[in-house]
Formats: sequence, structure tokens, C-alpha cells
Amino acid sequence: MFNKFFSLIGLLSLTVSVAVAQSGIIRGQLTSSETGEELIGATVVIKGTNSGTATDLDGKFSFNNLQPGTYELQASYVSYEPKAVAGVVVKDGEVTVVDIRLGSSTTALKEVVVEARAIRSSEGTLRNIQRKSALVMDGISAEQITRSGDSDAASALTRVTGISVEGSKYVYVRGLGDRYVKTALNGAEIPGLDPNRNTVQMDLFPSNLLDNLTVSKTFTPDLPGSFSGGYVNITTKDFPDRYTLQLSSSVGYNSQATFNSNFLSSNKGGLDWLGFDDDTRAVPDEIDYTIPSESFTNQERAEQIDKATKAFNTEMAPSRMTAPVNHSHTFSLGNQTELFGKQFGYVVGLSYQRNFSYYDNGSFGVWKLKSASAEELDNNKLFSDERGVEEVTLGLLANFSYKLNNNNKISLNLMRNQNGQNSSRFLSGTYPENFGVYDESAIFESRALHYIQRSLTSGQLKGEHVLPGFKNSKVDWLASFTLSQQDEPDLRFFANDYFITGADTAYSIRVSNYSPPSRFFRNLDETNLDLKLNLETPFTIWNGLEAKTKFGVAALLKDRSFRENIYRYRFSNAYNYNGNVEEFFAPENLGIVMQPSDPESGGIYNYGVYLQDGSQRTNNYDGEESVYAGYAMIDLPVTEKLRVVAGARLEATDIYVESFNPLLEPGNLNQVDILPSVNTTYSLTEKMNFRLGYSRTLARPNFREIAPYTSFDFVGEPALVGNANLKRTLIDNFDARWEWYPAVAEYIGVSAYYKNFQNPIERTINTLAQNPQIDINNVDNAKVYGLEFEINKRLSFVTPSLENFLVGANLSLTKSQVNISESELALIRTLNPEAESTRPMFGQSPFVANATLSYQSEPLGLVATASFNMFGDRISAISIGGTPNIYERSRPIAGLVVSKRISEHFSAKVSANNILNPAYKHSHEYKGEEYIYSSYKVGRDFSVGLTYLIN
Amino acid sequence: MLTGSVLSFSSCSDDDDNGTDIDEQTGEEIVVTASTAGTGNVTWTADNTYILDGFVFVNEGQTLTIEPGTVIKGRPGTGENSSALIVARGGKIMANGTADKPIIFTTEEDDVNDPNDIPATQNGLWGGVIILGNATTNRGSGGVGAIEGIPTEDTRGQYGGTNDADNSGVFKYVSIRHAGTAIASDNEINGLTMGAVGSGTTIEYVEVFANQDDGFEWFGGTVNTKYLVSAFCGDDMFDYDEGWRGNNQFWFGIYVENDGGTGGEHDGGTDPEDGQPYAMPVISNATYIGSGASRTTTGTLVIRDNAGGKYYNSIFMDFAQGITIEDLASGEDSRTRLEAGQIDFQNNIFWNVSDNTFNGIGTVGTTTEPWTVALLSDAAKNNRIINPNLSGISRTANGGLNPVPATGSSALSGGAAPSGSFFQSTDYVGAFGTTNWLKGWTYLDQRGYLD
Repeated sequence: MFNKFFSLIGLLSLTVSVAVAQSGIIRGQLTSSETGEELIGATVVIKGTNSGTATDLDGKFSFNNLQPGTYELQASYVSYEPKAVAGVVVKDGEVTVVDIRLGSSTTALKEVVVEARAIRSSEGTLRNIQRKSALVMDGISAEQITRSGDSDAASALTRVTGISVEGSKYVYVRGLGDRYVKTALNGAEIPGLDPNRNTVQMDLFPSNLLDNLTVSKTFTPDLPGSFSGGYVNITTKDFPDRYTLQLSSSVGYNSQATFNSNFLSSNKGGLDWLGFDDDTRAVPDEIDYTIPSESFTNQERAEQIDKATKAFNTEMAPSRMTAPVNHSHTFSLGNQTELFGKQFGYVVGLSYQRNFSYYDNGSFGVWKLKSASAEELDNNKLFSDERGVEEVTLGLLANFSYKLNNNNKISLNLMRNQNGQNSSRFLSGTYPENFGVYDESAIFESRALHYIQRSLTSGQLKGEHVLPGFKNSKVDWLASFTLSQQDEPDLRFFANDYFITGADTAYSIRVSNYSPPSRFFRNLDETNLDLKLNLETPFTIWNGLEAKTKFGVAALLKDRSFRENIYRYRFSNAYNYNGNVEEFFAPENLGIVMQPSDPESGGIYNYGVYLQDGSQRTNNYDGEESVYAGYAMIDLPVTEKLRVVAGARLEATDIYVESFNPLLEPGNLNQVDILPSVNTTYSLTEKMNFRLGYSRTLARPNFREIAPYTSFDFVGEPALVGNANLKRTLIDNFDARWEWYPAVAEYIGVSAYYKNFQNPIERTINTLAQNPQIDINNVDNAKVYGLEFEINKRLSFVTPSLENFLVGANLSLTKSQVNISESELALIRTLNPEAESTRPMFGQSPFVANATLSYQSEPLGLVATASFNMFGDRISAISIGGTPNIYERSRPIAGLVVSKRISEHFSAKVSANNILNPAYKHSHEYKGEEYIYSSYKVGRDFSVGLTYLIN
Repeated sequence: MLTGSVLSFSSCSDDDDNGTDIDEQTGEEIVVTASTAGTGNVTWTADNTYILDGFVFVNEGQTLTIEPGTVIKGRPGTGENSSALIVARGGKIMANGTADKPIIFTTEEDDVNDPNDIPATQNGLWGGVIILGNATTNRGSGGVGAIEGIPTEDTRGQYGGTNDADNSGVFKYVSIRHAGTAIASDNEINGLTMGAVGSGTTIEYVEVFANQDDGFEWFGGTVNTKYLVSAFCGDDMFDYDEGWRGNNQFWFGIYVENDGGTGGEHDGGTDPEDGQPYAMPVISNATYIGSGASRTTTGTLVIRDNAGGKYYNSIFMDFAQGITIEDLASGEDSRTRLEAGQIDFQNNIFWNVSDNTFNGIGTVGTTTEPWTVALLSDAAKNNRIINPNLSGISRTANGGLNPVPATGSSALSGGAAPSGSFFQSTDYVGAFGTTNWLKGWTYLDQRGYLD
């Protein structure tokens, strides 16, 4: 992978040197000032020469090999007012970019934008996409991401209206999580990495590789039908109009981690710094067999146990080190040039981040409501929590585009994202549930060493074609292949307890109360093949306006395998823990400690501390999913002001999941659905739209949910049991939005929505189980409704001197309710007779709010942005019985980023993030009192960076 | 020695003995594989050895009869790979062994004719035995539960109903050894688990030897028991939950020096914890011998979650920690049961428990529970701190264990049987008067622990 990448860089630097040694170039794009659409086949000429060209399928044009000087461009297009742009200066070796907007002949002349620097991915561009869209859409541009200083797509998305991000990774749109959100990379579906989730972890995408992020909140038939909250599309950088090179580096300081000599860590591999495990954590090569169960007489089995036990490393507890500074580096390079006489554009990007985070201020408690008359919750566990995490994210992107001629373009996008996270945790405290006493002399301790390595490798080939012989119809196609992998090599747990009696401390590991020391190896591989073909045909209708039909077919093929190996330590009574982890695993204690020939052995093999295989067949499964789809839709301007986009999509689903346990029924879902959609847009004024929409969408169970096996997480979390008989969920979505675009990059909008779910898939408590267990079931109904407000406005309307200030704010208010199953409700009501029969959906915040205030001064080269984000309390775990559910508590996140141009090519950036350093808190509330489930603070972050930019 | 080639037959195999060198054992090894059909109405005979492969159920309506002297072995493995015998609600087990010919449940590794082929106190080598019935529990979910370790989608794992006189059969002169593997994550199985077993069932002379989890555990139900032995288990000797109300006499429990949980773990309800009926068993003539003073983590009794319970005429000795009767700020606790007269201790002997004072026995860690101290030290209750002078205490197989009180022992008098026809009238304290009823049928005897 690496060698390939570096040779690629070498290749590209060659083409760069060719590209810069030329005379001047003019490039630009023609768009409609009304709809923002690109104008294809329009004419652009240079006045006074016979140089002329037609715009291509992106509305773009280019004049190469121009002598330096000043030129005038003339642009014209059928039914549009022609326009001349004078004073276009061409310099030697530079590209001048001229974007022209043409107004239709009935409207007044519009402004021409001549920009010395090409600003792609600007907020204005994004707003244009949003405005001309047939559906309700929000988003964030690279420009905004830079301003707020977000390092990855996950944190950038929190700025978008109605979006919240769970655990810094998973996107919730309008309070709907995972199952109801679809993530796509450049329009192609990509697999998630968490075996229990549908969506991809957004922190995998470094922000410098992004062009924009858009969130479609309503469904049109050309989108996949399996979302309701939102369809999140990550658009990676496209090639620029001219040579661009950017290099930047920054170093960061975290108030809790950086230079802290108590940083909790563990053994590392030689490639950890790149986000890979170099097999340091792999199952030792010698173990090419299943460790047999104990035999005290069989030599072969005894020796296999012995050999396996001794082959593993024995680092089972965290160690301490001093954490260095955080740092991040990005590089990107792009240009367009000619290759075999045709236009060739490319961009390559590289991103690297290494961050250390640490807290020792955490607490963790398990609470229970024991009876209906209780005045308070009783405590079952109360631990202090300490954790150190080292995280490396590496991103590589290469995007190539080749224009065969004005009507045909092919592009190739390659991406690889790698993330390695080494986390070490130590919990310690009272455990009355197990020890029968709540006493500081009876202490439980637990350690976890967890390395998780995630990668996403994607290759996408796309084509766009205009068919001049067929009414300038557009054909586009896409073939995307994605491989996503998540490895958790050697996830280690070691727990023990101790009792203090007087001066005496007695340690032990009680395997009857909690898990023995164990090692887990997990591996998830998933491939997605996404194929799409669309045909869009414009035609003129009765009122002289242009309508479009769109037809398409698509196939999505997924393939997943999940594997888990478990090894558990067992030990004979005489080898119990004495308080020293290293001594517990001392070489003389491992494996066979006495041979049968030993006179004290009793004539049998005696073991000290030894390994047993605890792997479960049911925890290994393979899944296949195919979705074949076809759709037809029409985009109809009924009048000048009223646009209707209507159609339907047919989706045929086939999901099959089979575990290694032949006794378990395979999960299977076969279904054909028709999903209608109507979206109307009424232009109240030229800059103001009112939208109304209805659509039906669906949600499918994921592989894990439909695989009927039981899996466990740790630290007393309930078991999760899949369900082979799950049905898919149907959702009716109703949407309304009023939006106003007062000026470039300004936007004000208000939306309302209502969603009704049939057979939603929910996690429900199994009331029969003796140990906490969560089942996946279809419950009969759920509802979500809400309002969204957004404003992005320059403060010049207050007083002109505030022209450079831009304020942005959005707020979304959502309410949801899911029916609680009858048996679960009956159990809840034995403890809480007043309990309601519904609860909010998992993860849904009653509000999500964002605010930013930016100051931008082009002459000073100064951009300063203060940002603020907050969500309302949301359910993060459903409790068993009448114990109130656990809510993740609202926390204010504030940051400040200032960047300043210091020379033509250099700029500096200073940022402060998480300035308020609130607690990340999950808690129950009962009779006005708060009971903390988990709480910790992550510290404030400060960074300084330098960017070198040629544009 | 039984090494290697175990014959795999389905439960109705023909006679196709290919000459495996099974010495002394006659008959066949019959592998009983888990199936939805259950065992059927069948008799397991003493001339064969039965190998449990997976969760083998006696289904509703089926009766499994086991002849005296029959050996049943569980295959090794954890989780879904573990093996256990489960008598479902409405199924019956007729395991009527005799003192001469006990029925033995052990691991596949164990050649029962060679007592020394496994370390004596090795535990967790196979699952265990579970009996489920139709009696009442105090579970919030209509009194019905799914027994731990069995996947909840298998309804045969459910227990609980409305028939307190329910009869699950006879389980007598049975020895369960080396069991208690984790049948689900963090979930070891007990030697003998009884879920909502009714009072029509007979449970007598049952030994659980070296189980990784508890020796015996009850989840609700009304079954009565006599002559139970919990020897060298990894967790509690005797554990009850969810409102068990049985009468019990003659229990013996002993720990090794460096393992064990709590002599008696006694819990009430789960959800809700004040669920009715409250646990209210009566236990008379128990002898619990802990790990000794050096293992400071071992406690005598924990009574909580609104559990009640009464101990009469019993000996508790060699426990570093005493008795905890839970007191919660919410008031939903066993202290409330104590104050309602639903927890009682009478005519018991404590020796080398904590610091040999009632105050110490009522103290765990640094916390003293005055209500516990007051109950134990109430003169009218006749609880004594005195050496019962047992004839011999040994935790290793050296022939030194004889829990019968020596001549002149204070334990030979001072007892008074609780009322009720179930209880045999005795005046001695502890599980033994003058005869050692462990003799003959237990692994303790076979392995050479007994004097």
C-alpha cells in the first residue's frame, strides 16, 4: 500500500513540473443564475480573436496557451441573455478562473463573478447545491470545516442542522441514529466497521480530504430507499482548476494527556505509529491448533495446553509512560493538465494525525431501583475510571478525472483510511452486588487493553456522458468497491478483587463472580459492491419550461464475515492472584507445573495458570445482502414557481446470515418494496422556497441483528441476542421547509417533519432472562416529529461596519416515541406503576443546537471563528425493570480558531478546542437525584499550526 | 484408564463395542446428544456410561429414570460447547440411588474407577444438573423465568408456575463432581440448580463436590431437602434467590483453604427486589466449615434483597468474615425482613468466625451491623460462641475429616428441632449427631477425605 502510494506521488510531481511551465490559461464555469445548474454546450468566445469553445458536461470551459494580457470573454446560451466579461487578466504560467452566471432573457442582468482564486467547496457553492436541490438538504463545506477547525468528518457534521454525533463516530440525523441514516462516499454506499452498526464511523475521514458533506433529509427515488433521518454523502476533494499544493503541520497540547507521566498505555507494535498492528498482538504462530480441554493424563493434550500458554505474551495490565505532543500533518496536491491531448485532472491527499488522550477523573457506577417504594436507587458497583488512548489516523486519497471530450468524462477515486487506537483502562472500586458489602475495604479492580484497527479501502470508477443526439440526456454510472476491516487483536481483560482486614490485604480472582483473565481476537471484513446507472432526459413541456425524467437501476452487494477467538486463563487454587500481575504470569506458574513423574504430582499433570479455548461457534458468522433497485421519476416545473419531483423506487432485498453453529436457524429476509416519493418546491420569490414532501422509505436489520446468536460486551453489560425473524421497517415521511437565501453564503430556513414507523426494530429487554439480556424485536409503532431552524447571515444588516462578521446558528427540536413491549412494560410497572407506555427513541436528543461567529478579512488574511455545539439529554442505555433509563447528558462544546496569512504562501493557525471542558456524563435520574453511570472529562486542547499553500 | 477413542453412538445405539480398553466398566458408552426431542421416557442403566453432549433436556411429559450405580459424564467445553442435564418443567427425573450404589455425575475425563486421575478439587470441567418446576417464584414477570445459561429462545429453559406441590421426581444418593463450567459468558453453572421446584419432589443425599460456582442454588420454589453436601466449591455452598420456601435439615458444607465464596448467599427478589412471596426457607442442623482465618475474603452468610430465612441448630466455623444482613437506604432490604421476624437464628454455634465475638460476626470489613449483632446475641435465641469440638477437620484427602462432634462436645446438646413434621427431632447442633452419614456414598469418602 505504502510503496504504491509513494510511487504515485513521484509520478504526480512529474506532471506538475510540466504543467507550470506554460503561458496563461483561462478556465471557468457557466451556470444558471436562477437554478444554479451548470449550462452544458454554451458558447464562450474571446472577443477580438477567433478563439471560441463550448462548455462541457460540467458547464466548464478552458482557453489554453494564451499570451499574457487582458481579455474580454463573451458567453451565450439559448434562451439566456448573452453576457460579456471584460478585464480578464492572464499572467504567464497562471490560471485565471472566471465563473459566469447567465440570467434567462426574461430576468435582469446578473452579476459576473471574476475570482482571482478559485474557491471550490465554498459555502456559496454548497448553498447553491442546497437551493437547487429537489429535496430537503443541509451540509457543510470544506471552507466552513476549515473555519471551525474540525479535524474529521464526525466533528464537522456536528455543525450541520439537526445532526448529532454519538461517541465521536456515529451520525444521528433528526434524532434518528444508525439504522435510519445512510452514509455514502461520493454517492456510493460504504460499509460500516462496527459489527453491530449500519453506518460508517465518520471519524475515519480526515477533513483535509473532504470537499463537502451533504445530508439529504428527504427521499427522492434516485437515492437508496433505506434511510429516514438522512442520507449523508461525503464528497472528497475534486481536482482544482489550477495547480494547488498544500502542506500543513500542527502540534497540539491536551491539558490532561500531553506530558503527563501517568499516561496509561500498553505494549506496542512497530507500526502502531501508522495505525497498524505489526502482528505484535497476533495469536502466536505456534498455536495452529485449538487448545484442548484439560486432561491430567493425556500427554499430547497436556503439552498442547502448556505450549499455548507459554506462547502468548503475559502483558495483561497497563503500564505508564509520558505522553508526547499531539500532532497532525496534511498534504494535498492537485492540478489539471493534458494527457494524450485530453484534459486530465487529479488531486492526491495525505493526512496523518496522532493524538493522545487521557483521564483519571472518571467514575463508573451501576444503580438499581429495587422497589416501587424506594426513595433512591441502590448502588451495585462504584468504580473510579482511568483511561489512556493513543490514536493514529492516516488517510490517503487520489482522485483522477479524464475528459475524453466535452460530452464524456471518466473519473477514478481511490481512498484508504486507516485508524489504530490503543486504549488502556483501569477501573477500581466497590462492588456490593458481588461482595455483599459496600465497604472501602472490599475492592474490585479491572484492567482492559484494547487495540482496535479499522480500515476502509475504496475504489470508485465513474462515468458521465451527455448524449447530444438524444436531447442532451445525461448518463452517469458508478462502480464502487469498498473493503472495510476491523480487527481487535488481543483484547485483554484482567480483573481481581482484594479485601483489607486490619493490616492484611487478601487478593483473589473469583471466576464465579466475574470473568477470568481473558484474551479476545476479533476480525470483521465486509465488502460492498455498489453499481449504479442513471439516465436523465430533459424535455420542454406545455408551458415552455424544461422538465426532466430520470430512470435508473442499481445493485448493492454486501458480504461480511465476523470471526472471534476467545482464550481464557484458568488456574488451580494454589496459583491464585497475590496482587502482582507479573507474578501471576511468572514463567514458573505457566502451563504444566508438575509432570506425572514428579513424586508430588499424584501421578498426573498438574497445571498452574493455563489457557483454555473459550471460542464459540455462534459468534462466527457470514452474511450476504443484495439489494436490486430500479426507479423512475420526473422533475416537473408545473409553473415558473412550482416544481414537482415525483416518482417511485422498487427495491428487492435479500439478506442471509449464517453462523458456524449448525443448530442455529439462519437469519433470512426476502422482500420487495415500492417506495413512492413526491417533493414539491414553490418559489415564493427568486430567493425564497417553500418545500413540501412525502416519501416512503424503509430500514433493514443489519447482519448482527438478524443473526440469532448471543454476544456479550464487558463490564457487566447485558447480553445482546439477535433475531432471525426480523421484518424490515416501513417509514412514512412528511416534510415541510421554508428557506430564504438573502445573499451569497447567507441562508435562513425553517423545517418541520413527521415520521411514522411500522414495525420499527428496537432493542427490548428480555424479562424472563435471569441475567440482563437485550433482544432485537420489531415493536409495532414509533413516531418522530420535529422542527428545525437555521440562520447564516452577515452582520452587515445590523451596521455596515460588521460586514466581515458572519453568524451561523441552527436549532432542531425533535420528539419521538416508541411503544414499549407489553411484557417489558408490565415489569417496569411493578416498580414504577406510573410508567408511560412509550419512551423516546434510543439516542434521540430533544434538541441539537449549533452556533458560530466568524470574522473574515480578506485584506488582513485573517479568519477567526468561535463555535458552540450542544445537544439535549438523550437515552444512551435502556435499563432493565423500573430503573430509570440512562441518559447521556447535555454538554456544551466550545472552540476558537484563528488563522492568519503571514506571507503569500504561508499562513498560521491557532486553535483552542473544548474550552469549557464539560464532563462526558451518562446518568440515571430518580426522584430529582442524579446517579452517575459514567462520567469523565477529556481536557482542553490547544494547537498551533503552519500551512504552506500554492494556489 | 479411559483414553482416546470414545465411541460416539446416538442414544439408541446398537451393540457395536469395538473392543475399547474400558476396564472394570461393562456395557457401553452411550453418547446422549442435545436435541429438541429430549431424552424421551427412558431408563439409563447402571451397566452403561452415559456421555452428555450439549444441553440434554428431559422434556415436558418425559421421565428419565436412572438406575442406582449409573455413571453419567459431561463433555468438556464452555458456553455453547458445555454439557448439562436439564429436567424441564413438567418433566421428571427418577434418580433413586442407594448408599451402596450412588448415581454419579462427573466429567468425561474422569474414570470413576481411578479416584486419582483428576486433581481432587479441580472444578469447571463440565456443566451440571438443572431441575426446573412449576412452583411459584417472586419474579416480576408473572413468576416465570428463563434459567441462566440456557438460551432464552429455548422455552424448555423456563421455570415457575402456580403449583407449589409440583413433583419433578426423586433425586437421591447422587454425587455431582468437578462441574460448574461457564455455560454462558460470566455465568458459571451450579452443581445442582433448582428453578421453582415444588414440594412434591424428593431431594436427599446429594453431594456436589468441587463445583466452580455454587454447590446448590434455588430460584424460588418450595422443594424440601435433606442430607446435602457442598464440598470444596468455588463460590457459595448454598445459595437461594427469588423466594424459595423449603424446609431443610442436615446440610454439610466445607471449603478448601484458598477458594470459596460465601457459605450461604441468600437473595430475595430480582425485579422487583420486594417481590412476593419472600424467600423464607427453614434450615436446621447445618454444618458450614469455611476456609479458615487465613482466607479473609470468605464470609459466612449474606442475606439481602428482602430475603428472609431461618437457621436453627447449626454450626458455622472457620470463616474470616461473619454475617451480612443488608441494610439499604431505600429500606427494601433484608434488615426489614429481620425486623419483621422473618430472619431468625436459634440454637446455633459459632466458632472461629471473625474474632469469635457477636460484634465481630456482625461486622464485615469495617462496617458493624447492630441489628445483626442484636439478633445473634439475644440470650433468648441461645446462639453460642463455643468450640463444637468436631472429631476432625481436614481439607485435603488425608483421611482426617470427621465432622461428627467428639465425645463431650458442646454440640451434642442444646438443639431443638423446629416445629413441623418435616423435621426430625434432634437435640444436637450441626449436621451430625453420632453417625457420619457422609460415609459410603460420597466422593469425600471415595477420595479418602474421611476419617
